[in-house]
Amino acid sequence: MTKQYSLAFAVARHSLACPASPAISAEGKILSYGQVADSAARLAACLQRSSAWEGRDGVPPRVGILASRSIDACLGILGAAWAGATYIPLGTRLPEERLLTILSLCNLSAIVADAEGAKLLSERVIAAGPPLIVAPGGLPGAHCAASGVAVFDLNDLPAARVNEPVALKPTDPAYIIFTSGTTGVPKGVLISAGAIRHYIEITCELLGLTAEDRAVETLEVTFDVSLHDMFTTWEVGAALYILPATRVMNAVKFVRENALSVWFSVPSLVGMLKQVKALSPDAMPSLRVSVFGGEPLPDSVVAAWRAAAPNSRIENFYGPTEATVFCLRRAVTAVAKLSPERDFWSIGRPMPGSEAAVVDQALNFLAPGSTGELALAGVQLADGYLDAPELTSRRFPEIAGQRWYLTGDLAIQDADGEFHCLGRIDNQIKLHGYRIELEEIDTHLRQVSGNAMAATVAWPIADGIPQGLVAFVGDRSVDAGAIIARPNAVLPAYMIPGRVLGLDSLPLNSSGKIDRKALCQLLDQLKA
Amino acid sequence: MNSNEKEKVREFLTGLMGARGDHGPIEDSQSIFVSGRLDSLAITNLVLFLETEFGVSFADTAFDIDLIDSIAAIEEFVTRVRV
Repeated sequence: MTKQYSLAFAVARHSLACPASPAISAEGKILSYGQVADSAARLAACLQRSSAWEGRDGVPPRVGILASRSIDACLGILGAAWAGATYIPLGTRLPEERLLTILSLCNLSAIVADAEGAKLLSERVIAAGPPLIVAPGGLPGAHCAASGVAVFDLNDLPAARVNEPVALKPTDPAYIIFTSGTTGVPKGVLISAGAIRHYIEITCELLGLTAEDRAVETLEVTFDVSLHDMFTTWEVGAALYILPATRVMNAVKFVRENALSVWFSVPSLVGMLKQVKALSPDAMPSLRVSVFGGEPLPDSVVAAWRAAAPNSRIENFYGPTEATVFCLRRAVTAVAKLSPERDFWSIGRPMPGSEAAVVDQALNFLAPGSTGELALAGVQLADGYLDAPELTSRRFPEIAGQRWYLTGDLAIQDADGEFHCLGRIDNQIKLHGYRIELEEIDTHLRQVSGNAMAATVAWPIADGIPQGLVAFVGDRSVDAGAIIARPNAVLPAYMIPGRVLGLDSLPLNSSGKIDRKALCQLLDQLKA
Repeated sequence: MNSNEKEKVREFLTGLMGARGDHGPIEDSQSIFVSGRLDSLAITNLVLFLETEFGVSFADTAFDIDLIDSIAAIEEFVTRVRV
């Protein structure tokens, strides 16, 4: 049999073999593989009938998914994949300006929205967007007709013949995920169908997933680990249980009530569940596989999880979006393997098909024991950044005849050959799993304050993990409220500083840059 | 929970919302978290506040966001668990 690269193929296969098996549970509903395949095929047919449905020079059409984690988001992603498109998750938390920026960058053929996402379809967004919109209930759209946009009701699409999804080549882009960019413009990471296909296959094998599993979804579709949740689950014919964002603190109750067996979350969610005393001993006996990733895994989180989910193995996964979800892993064993001078777990070794190395600034490979930048290679590397060849060649250089990705993470390889991630080289941080370039926030602070001195720091830090954002502006009389309110229009909510402080001037380091370390120390002193 | 304590809770929540640019009133029965007005981090802040301010313990309850999703729910919860 020819290898199938479409993300929709597994769902199509299970819909024939076990049509009644549950595929998605959310919003009080359970959808079977048969129902999911039928809906995805209907959506695919609707997309393919559109006049806008033409690949450009053999490049697959692109579909924006304007949705939160929801049944409709899953159907949108699967329908797009079924039709042979590249999907681009847009989420529902983007302010209008940022959404317009992303729309201008990605030349979509269609948008599929869920009920939340449809609320963002303002007159301006519709005018700037693609000629086809599919949303539940359609849209109350006088301006759609005026701007020539065709609108279809996601819940009422005509029946389509459920045949096979459109085949993709391994080199075709399967999805594009936008991440924070230093210059203030988000950058789109292109992942090929071959790269994500490889990740799904090795991960299902590694975790030993089966059709009997029930996996939790705690993530937004804009976070690439959502692909891990969705597609490893559907690969094996298992069921995905979606926990809405506003109920994420009920995760333990959700796992217990639905007897879920597979968990993924960022470690900071466990920290928060611990704070509300949700992690009582043996609270989740049904869990058998727990994966953490997206942030360093503190030993305290491991201890809490072992007690709450005593029957579960635990895995620490590591990887940037640019190397397809995750590409290194470390099993959490009885004896802890922590990183030097940290209480985080090792990130272990590369998964099959991936390679890792520590390099210096001149891109020489470093021996174990030397600290440098973590570089990655192998079949999971992204094709690069959307329409940014200069940035792509800078971050994906050729070293010793092979293409590598420079992660920007500081790392060291130990004597056993295991890798340890020691933090960032630049000013990128992870806050609750979201990747944030602090310079991007600074750019907006300078614009709204009109002051050239602006810097954002991650603070406070607990167990080495950032808990929030504090911004500084070089003007003692700064109107903090106005500054916080203004970036709202352009930055996603997770990038808005919780506090803005005005100082006469900001401290500089020896190279003349604003000294973020000194600002953090100042905050520590103020607190003390 | 007396009315004075209830207003303390309202004041605390108003503070959290204000820091996020939400200056609207909070009605007793209005959803605070499930509605999306405040996020998960604020939930941990509220739990800590209720524990230190009223001496209630969440350790003996299976945590459920519905127990503290409105001022009315918080009032009922605190009254029930504080003996």
